[in-house]
Amino acid sequence: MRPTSTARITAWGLLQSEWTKLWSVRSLWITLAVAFALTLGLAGYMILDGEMLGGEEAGHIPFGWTAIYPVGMLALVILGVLTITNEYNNGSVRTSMVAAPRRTGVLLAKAAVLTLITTVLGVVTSVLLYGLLQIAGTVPSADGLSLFDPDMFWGVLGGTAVLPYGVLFGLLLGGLVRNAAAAIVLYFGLFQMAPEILPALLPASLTGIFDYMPLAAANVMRSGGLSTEPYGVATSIIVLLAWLIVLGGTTWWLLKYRDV
Amino acid sequence: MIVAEHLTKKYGEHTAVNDLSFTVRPGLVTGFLGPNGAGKSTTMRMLVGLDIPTGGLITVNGKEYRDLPDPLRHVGVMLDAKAVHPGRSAYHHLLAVAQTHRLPRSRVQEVLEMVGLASVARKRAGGFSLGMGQRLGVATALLGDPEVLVLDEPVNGLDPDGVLWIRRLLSSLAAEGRTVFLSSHLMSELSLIAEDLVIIGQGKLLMAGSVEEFLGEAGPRRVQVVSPDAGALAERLQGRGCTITSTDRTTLEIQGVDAAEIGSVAAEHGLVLYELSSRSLSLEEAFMELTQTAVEYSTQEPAR
Repeated sequence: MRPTSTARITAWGLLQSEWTKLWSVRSLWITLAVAFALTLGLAGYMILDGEMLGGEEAGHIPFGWTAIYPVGMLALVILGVLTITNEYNNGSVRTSMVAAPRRTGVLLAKAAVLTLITTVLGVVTSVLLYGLLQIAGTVPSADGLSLFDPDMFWGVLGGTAVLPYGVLFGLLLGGLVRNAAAAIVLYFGLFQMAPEILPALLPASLTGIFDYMPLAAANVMRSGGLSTEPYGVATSIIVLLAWLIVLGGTTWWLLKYRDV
Repeated sequence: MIVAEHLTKKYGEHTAVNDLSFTVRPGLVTGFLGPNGAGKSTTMRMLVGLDIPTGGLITVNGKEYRDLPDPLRHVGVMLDAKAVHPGRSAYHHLLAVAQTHRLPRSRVQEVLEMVGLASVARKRAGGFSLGMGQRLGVATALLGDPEVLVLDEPVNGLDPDGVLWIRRLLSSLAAEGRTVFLSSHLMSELSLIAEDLVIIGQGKLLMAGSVEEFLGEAGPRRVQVVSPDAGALAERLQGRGCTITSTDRTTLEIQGVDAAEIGSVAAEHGLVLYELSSRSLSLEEAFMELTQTAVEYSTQEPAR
């Protein structure tokens, strides 16, 4: 049988292809599973234990368990990096680019599949942990509080959003650097450690720029409005999106016009 | 039909492909020949849009590969067999490629059977031997049932069984009316299946045309003469516009006059001939002659 005459590159086809690619490589779905198992396990432990979340200082934050989410985010950054760098590493990127020579769709499909999966899993994780919190009752301020109560909802939403944000950031960073080790070192060095180490070494007038690094902005977003320093949640979202646009634009441009 | 027009690719200072123009006719097997480093792979990479030409253009059926809405149905490519994730099974590798074009799953099974990988389809491609990897590469190229197949060094590193398999497969694909464009640095390999040749050296076109044209152009026929009077015969042949080389006291290699003329000259002067044989160049010799000036990394011949 000859392939049907309707066969051509479509957005839906590219999405299916990326979906297949993700689930057919063990290291990728294991990284994904580890990210969420880690988030669920650590946050679940903190909720049941209650010592940190229910203490005097933290007890008034109903969504305190989302403080664990940056750990899951880190694992998802690595997943994002691996999803694209492993194609460069083993040459299968050439197969991908021959199948979809305009290239843009491949990057968009990868981003869409990863974002969709991590968003769904992130929401499920948060709902499960919220339920556990209600059962455990270890955080006084959360007792009987609806998930959709503004005091709860925005914090949970902001915390959950860092999970897909991490995977997207990793994907774009990996596409930029095209090498897993380099991308991961770059992430740790520039985005994770530099904002903690460099402010001590730089003149005070310059340390303000670190407030605009992605993790700093993500922390503001996770606060659900409780933190307004150095800027509010709306600004934090703009900062986070700006990072994606700049990183994504550069990665897209290089993918589109660089030889593979 | 594949058409290259003034195709040029520069990597910094280095020009890999230099003002290359040629046509690959539809429905034939065309051999793409050149020494290592001549620019064959670069040309093929530009054909499928992996590398962007510095100048010029290469098209398939009048369109650049990137502009095809369904490229896999026009061109099947195998550039290197290892363009596969080693952790992914052959089946899922093919499925992911097929899905981009919404080709049915049944097509994946078909090509797996066509190349004889159906029994190992669920095994990780990382464990495949070179020959199996090559088969998977061919399966990927065949997925869209394309009318044009582009294969870069398909027999490189294969054992004799694998070489035979590729040769039979390509012959049968060509018999179905497909265009096959395959590169090699070995003329002997291509001479068995190619009808047309495109020969390049150092990124430049050396020759394009049919195998017969190539042999005709490659040089005149040579005549070998064995005679006890070789010296005298060589003297008599002087001035007829031929080149004569003698390998020993009785043997001459003559270019520029044919065997009949040499025989007549010998008879005229009463010279004894033990052997008078004319032969045309083999494809291999003709290729070596054409490319010896265009080898990028040539070994230094010791001075004689």
